[in-house]
Amino acid sequence: MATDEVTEGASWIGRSVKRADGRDKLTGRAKYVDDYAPAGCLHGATVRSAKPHARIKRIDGRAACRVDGVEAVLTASNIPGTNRMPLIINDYPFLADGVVRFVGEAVALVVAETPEAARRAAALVRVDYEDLPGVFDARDALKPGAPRVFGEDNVFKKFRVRRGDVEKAFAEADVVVEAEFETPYQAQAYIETQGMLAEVEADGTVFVAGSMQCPFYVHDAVAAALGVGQNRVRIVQRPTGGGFGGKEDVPSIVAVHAALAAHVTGRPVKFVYTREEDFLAMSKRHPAFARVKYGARRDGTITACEVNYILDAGAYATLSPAVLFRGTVHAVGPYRIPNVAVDTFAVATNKVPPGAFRGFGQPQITFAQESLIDELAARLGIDPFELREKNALRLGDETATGQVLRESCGFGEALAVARRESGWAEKQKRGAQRRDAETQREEASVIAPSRLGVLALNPVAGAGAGAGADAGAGADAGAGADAEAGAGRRVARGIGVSANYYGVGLGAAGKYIDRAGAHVQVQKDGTVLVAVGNTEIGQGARSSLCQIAAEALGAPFEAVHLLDIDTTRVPDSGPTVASRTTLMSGNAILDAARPIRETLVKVAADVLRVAPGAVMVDAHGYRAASGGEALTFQRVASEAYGRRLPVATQGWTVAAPTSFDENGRGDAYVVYAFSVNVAEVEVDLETFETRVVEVTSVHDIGRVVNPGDAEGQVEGGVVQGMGYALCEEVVLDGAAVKNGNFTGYILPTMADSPAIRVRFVEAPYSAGPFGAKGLAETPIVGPAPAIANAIRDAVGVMARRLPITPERLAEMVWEKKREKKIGRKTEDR
Amino acid sequence: MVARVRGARRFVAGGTDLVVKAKDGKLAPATWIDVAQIRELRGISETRGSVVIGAATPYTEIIESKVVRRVLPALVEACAEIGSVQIRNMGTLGGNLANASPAADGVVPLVAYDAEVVIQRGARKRVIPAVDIATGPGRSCLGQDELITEIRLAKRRRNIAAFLKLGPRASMAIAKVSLALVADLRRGRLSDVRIALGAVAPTVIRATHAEAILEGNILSHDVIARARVAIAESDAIPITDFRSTAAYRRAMCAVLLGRALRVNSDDVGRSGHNPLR
Repeated sequence: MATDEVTEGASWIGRSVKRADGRDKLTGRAKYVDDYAPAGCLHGATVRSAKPHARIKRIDGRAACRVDGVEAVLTASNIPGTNRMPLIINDYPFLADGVVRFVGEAVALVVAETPEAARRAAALVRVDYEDLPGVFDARDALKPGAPRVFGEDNVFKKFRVRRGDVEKAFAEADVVVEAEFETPYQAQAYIETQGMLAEVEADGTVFVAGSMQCPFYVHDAVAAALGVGQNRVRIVQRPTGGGFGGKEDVPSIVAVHAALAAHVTGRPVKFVYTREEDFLAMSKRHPAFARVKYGARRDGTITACEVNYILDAGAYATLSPAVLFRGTVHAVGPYRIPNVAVDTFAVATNKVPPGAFRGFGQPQITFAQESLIDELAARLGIDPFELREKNALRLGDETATGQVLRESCGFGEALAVARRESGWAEKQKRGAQRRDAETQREEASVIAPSRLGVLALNPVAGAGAGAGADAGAGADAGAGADAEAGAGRRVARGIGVSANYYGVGLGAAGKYIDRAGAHVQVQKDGTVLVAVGNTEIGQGARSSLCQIAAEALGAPFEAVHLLDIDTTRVPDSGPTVASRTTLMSGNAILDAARPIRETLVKVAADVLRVAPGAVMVDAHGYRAASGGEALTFQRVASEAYGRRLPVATQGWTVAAPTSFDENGRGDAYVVYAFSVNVAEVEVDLETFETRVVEVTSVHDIGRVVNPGDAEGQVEGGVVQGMGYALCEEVVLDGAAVKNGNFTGYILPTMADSPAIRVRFVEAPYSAGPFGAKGLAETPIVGPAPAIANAIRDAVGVMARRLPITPERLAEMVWEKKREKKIGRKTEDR
Repeated sequence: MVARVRGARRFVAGGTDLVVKAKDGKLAPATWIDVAQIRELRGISETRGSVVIGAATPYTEIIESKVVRRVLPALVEACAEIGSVQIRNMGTLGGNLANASPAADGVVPLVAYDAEVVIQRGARKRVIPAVDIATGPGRSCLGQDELITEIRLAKRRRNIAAFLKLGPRASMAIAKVSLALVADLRRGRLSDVRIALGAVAPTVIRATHAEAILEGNILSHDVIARARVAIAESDAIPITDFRSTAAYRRAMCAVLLGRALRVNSDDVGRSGHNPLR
């Protein structure tokens, strides 16, 4: 841009300003909900169902009431308003009324003088149940005659997308690949567990503050449950120790519990969950099953895609319809495919209800389809990168839903950058050479029979010390080559790529709530207050939104303060989800700032004695275009107050129109972000442990507001995606969570983290603030399939199930050897 | 003094397992008696024939001990694998033994080194081999008010020592399989072979079948192959749980044994290094 020279260093956009909330969080000064203890505060504990599906015959709280310090035992009958979480289907009771549908469901509340007394008493609440038949697998739940959890057929929601004629396309395709995939529950694993503090103020206003992403959801829920006007409920977000979607819907339950207890006892009540309780009862990523099928011409043109995608949605609908929608829209991948048939289902089971988790229904299906794209590439004998490039959505192309990409499509450039920066070509070539050598070697080698089942089929298991028949033989170092990796380890390197797109904002599924407000107020001294309805949950919203406000007003970044999110300050601005905060709150701030800036320009023109059209505004302040000293923002603000001009405004924005009809046709999202991930792995050929060596993660997110924070977002997403790929899995023993703590649930540590190379491609979005789209979620979508494809490159097996633990990978490789051996024996005969 | 504490009581030395269990509600209520700061229970001393480690010596001190590093390298490797820095600053071998986890990283090398554990109750002392302390997962032979006071390790002429562990991630991991091996390798022949396995049986065990195959034999491919089969098929008796599968654990016993022999024989072959000098 020509103006860059003039405004170099004069813009707040594109600068890595220090996080506005960084110091407080780093030094421990930030006060989280559990740091608040108002006088007379009671503590709550929740009695939870031990049954996956049962009728409640009786709840006996007498023994609990006798515990010293217990103030009250509350059940569904104490709820004065509506006992259903207001969300999409409104089926989730705040406290079970009559029936429990999963192990961990809230049945009763105990409030006491101390958390210990409350917990002790909660354990004494006796609940008599009458067991009902349960269903624990979404595929079983779809069968006729399955125990009923929801409605007539256990289907919370289904979608379909139809485009072209898939049957004809598959019949005419030169190559068809098909496979089934399975992914597990993943826990958001935010560092701060759920917590809320409620009190009824002197005027009767119910005040709830705590850890949350979506204060307006909490606002709706508390008003509905207590049966009071929304003007008598005030929700404030406290500094929140992470959310990743886990603080989207379920904090409404915790808030209602606290508010109900405060309402009944007249005292402040605090609920802070233990980690185990959080694992047991709070939301997670949906377990999913997917069957995907691609058809292509010999030249690599993808002609058809068919997807059947099932989300295991647990006992209540929560956000599942919206999660399913996102999965549906993105199900075939970011490719130009003329014939598409997608059928998707969110299915009820007697398990803990999953909800929102970064990626929101996309990581599951993207793992499936991007793994299968590599299978297709292998079958076609085309480089996986080239296959993606050949079919990638470009400007002017139609997505699976028939949405024409009219602007802001940096996918092609992202692919090119990822290919170049990851060193793909060279590493891929080495891998191919190694595979050729390996094939020859394997054909020549004879696996000695042994009485030891699996070990005999693992070629290294029968080999001696440091002298395995093929240990490191002829291997060159580096990617794609077997290598001695120290300590006598023999490893195989592999490289894999994945591509994904991500619809920014709520899209057609949430269009009626896709709006946002902002209040911007310039103070006499030139400082600025900004209030918005979207929250800081660690993603860096505070910095980015302050940068947008500073840029819009010509104010110093340091002068802008973003107020804690409070539902009394701006109207319902929708949830803080779907990578929509920069876009929506950013636009709302721009809307609010526009008239203020016009006023300030007029004031500056007056002081500078030039026409308003001749005033220039940048990060240094207001000055005449003809040159001369700039007026500081502080000076202009002060002059505006002296002239009694209004410099406080409410802003408002609504998302661009979106649509999605019963055949899945429409402009599903306002705009898309695009990502390409390349992962390099090292697989230990004896233990089948996978180490991710390096990830190159390239993203088109439109204009980057804060590159430092954006990079951090990507790094976090890569590590979280790596956890999803390799080790994270909430294990259920039929109905109950088995590994519900950080001893049993395996998160990657710093020692497991790869080198991460982050690059941004900036294809500006005309309707975004300064051209920005959205970033938060897309970084977690691509890493898992890129890693799975790298593992495939290293050891030649396609993982159909996450996480790819050493146990599962060993089984797959051993199975392949068994098949080969059987194949050889058959040939011998 | 202990007897003056009324009712149920329990010793705690570091508490890195006990506090977690207590928070989980898995322990019966009891008065805890913290012994971690008792001077007589801490520290490492060396005599002509042995090394004595106080039961309440934190792992960090063991890892940093010159004596232990020289004489008991497998113990150092194991202690360095335990938990995080914070855990290693608190946790102790006495606690690790008493906790009786089959996956206890600290116990595996103790078993391989034929460690003897001194247990005291009042003035009464008894000495138990480390391998016999645990009687099942979380169960030990310790009686009421019995306290582990020290661990005695004889110095023996052995030039092979290894501790290898497979966990679900690179650090802060509970073992899926762990193995400690100590032996003496002279002119290709192994003697004094001790192999201990963690997480593949109800307690930490000795791999006696594999030991028997290796003992007194030339370290040939055939011997190693037979020992690997023995350790996986005859010694390990693993289960499938959410941490791993029985099949994988069995196979990995063989892998770790091969690896332990490979690394060490290479070392010996290259430098003739003898940890006992």
